[in-house]
Amino acid sequence: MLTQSVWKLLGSFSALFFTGMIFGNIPLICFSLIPLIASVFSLYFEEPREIRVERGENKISAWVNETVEMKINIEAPKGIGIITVADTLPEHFELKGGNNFHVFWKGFRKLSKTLNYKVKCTKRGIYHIGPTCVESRHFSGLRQTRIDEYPMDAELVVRPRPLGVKRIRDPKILSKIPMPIAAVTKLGMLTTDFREIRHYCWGDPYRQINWKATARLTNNPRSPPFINDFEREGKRVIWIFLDASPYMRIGTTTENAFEYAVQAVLGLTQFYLARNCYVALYAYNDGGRSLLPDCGRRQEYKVSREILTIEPKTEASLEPLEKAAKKCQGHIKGANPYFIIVTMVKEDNVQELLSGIRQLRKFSKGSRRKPQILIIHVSGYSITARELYENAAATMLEIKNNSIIKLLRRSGAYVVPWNPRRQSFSRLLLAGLTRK
Amino acid sequence: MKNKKAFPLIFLTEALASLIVFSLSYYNFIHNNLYTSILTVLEALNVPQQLCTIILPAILFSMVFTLMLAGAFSKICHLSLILLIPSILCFSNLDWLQILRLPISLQFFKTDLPLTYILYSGLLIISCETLFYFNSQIKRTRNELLSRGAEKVDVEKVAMKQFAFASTLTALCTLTTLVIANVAFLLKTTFQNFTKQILYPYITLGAVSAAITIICILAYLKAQAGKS
Repeated sequence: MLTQSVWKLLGSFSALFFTGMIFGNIPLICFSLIPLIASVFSLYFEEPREIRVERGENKISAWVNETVEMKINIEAPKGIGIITVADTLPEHFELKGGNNFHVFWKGFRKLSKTLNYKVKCTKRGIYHIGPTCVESRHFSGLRQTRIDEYPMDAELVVRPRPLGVKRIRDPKILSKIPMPIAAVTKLGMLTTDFREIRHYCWGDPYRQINWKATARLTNNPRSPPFINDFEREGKRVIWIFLDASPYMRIGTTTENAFEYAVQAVLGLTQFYLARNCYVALYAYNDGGRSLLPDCGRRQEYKVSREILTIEPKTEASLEPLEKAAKKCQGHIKGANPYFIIVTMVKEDNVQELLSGIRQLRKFSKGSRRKPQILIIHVSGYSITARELYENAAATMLEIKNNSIIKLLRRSGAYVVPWNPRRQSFSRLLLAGLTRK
Repeated sequence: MKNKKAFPLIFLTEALASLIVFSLSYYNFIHNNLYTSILTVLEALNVPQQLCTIILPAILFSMVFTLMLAGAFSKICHLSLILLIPSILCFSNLDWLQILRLPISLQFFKTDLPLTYILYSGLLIISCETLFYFNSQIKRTRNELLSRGAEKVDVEKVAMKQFAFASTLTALCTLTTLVIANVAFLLKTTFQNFTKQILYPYITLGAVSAAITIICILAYLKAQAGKS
């Protein structure tokens, strides 16, 4: 299609031509030829066409906050004019280097360019990059701009970095938290993975006694000998409940309580799966999305894939913890699992948590003193606090929460408050360790 | 560094072109009978002639510089064309003022300069006007692309190449027109014997050629619109 600008040039031609014709004026008729010839010559050169756009070899997965390079190859063999290439970026991507919007001049020669830019993936998720919009502009604006969309979608999986959970190889250390090494079942076959050197207990096979270590470490002749303990094939079931309530959105879109909760879940999943435990995931207040207990790398992949698409809801909770526990009780019953609830403890959800804990305790055999439920309380107020006064306010709000945490502890759960800004997750889980 | 200077270069070219065009037109104007008549009228009103010869160009040139500062180069072209029109009209073959039996004729706008000078001056004005049209497109595109977040270096590079292409095209148009004009003047004598045989040759041939031109243009535009 031609634009209105054609009429501007032809208007000049008409005015001069008809005035020249009326007066029989040769110079005026000659003048009128310039806009006419200009429009004819301009229209002769068409805008760039037959453009080929291809996406280069880009990464398909990245970590959160990793910078990824994007490449687009463009070829335009015909036409003259301006080509603009714009690659549509997802919402949570930050342009770090280069530009995703480029302008090229297509002259008489064939244009062949590579568009480069770098983006920072600020939030986990499965993103579709593209489509790429290509505009072909006529150099004089006499023809309408042609806009083509190239739907060559590139999928980029942005995975959150799991928070490392460590174990300590010391026979004299006890953990109050029902998660570390002691959590592994005593049943199951022994593997070749060395776990620790510990005192002999009744029932241990004699061939496991480490005589050299016993001779070296034992001062008291009455003390039991030391044995080499090895990892066993996991049979223990861990149920992780991830809270996807609206209050988990506290903070920014890229840094909020839920994002930290996700990292914690991934860290715990990796830790337990590495020790051959069965891990199950349940995102409550998210329409009941769950992964049934399984072990191995496949489960790790499934959890990391599933967690990418979980987002905290914007509406009030529809499926509290109690309801979630009831929903999956068929899988929990008889397994005596550990429950890990990753949430943000607040006055608003304490009743929900208490009733949920009551429900979960029905499925676990542990006593009140040795709780089988671990609540990781992500301190959302500290995440949002930026300045000194805000930090003070966040601390005050957390202090206010202490009574609620005590209430939860009394009900039979071990609560670990976590301030992601100040505390490393791995160190935090070591906080409950004591010496024998 | 070279690319960053695209916009000032366009501005400078426009300023220079408009100044040359205006100077040419003013030179044409002062050689026109109309200018002499204006001076005579002012003299009759007891305005000294020397003062008139200073004030008139001063007013006109200050107007041009104001327009230049405002970046309205197209308006300078219009002003130049207005100054040139009296000289062009004196070369008309149909004197409507005489046909309508008005007290004056187009010969009132007689000029001392030859036809070729007037023709080339006019061609230069219209060429500049066309170039300014292309430049306005360049500026519009440049501003739009910058507002959309394109790299300034890229945009300047594109603007520079677009300007070079538009300038070449305008020069080509002017050259083509010059060739056509010269050929037309050469053919004029050849066809004179043929045109003398036609009754009212200007009206008849004019109407026919105008009709053919309009039809050709419309057909061409339709073909171009269909092509894209």
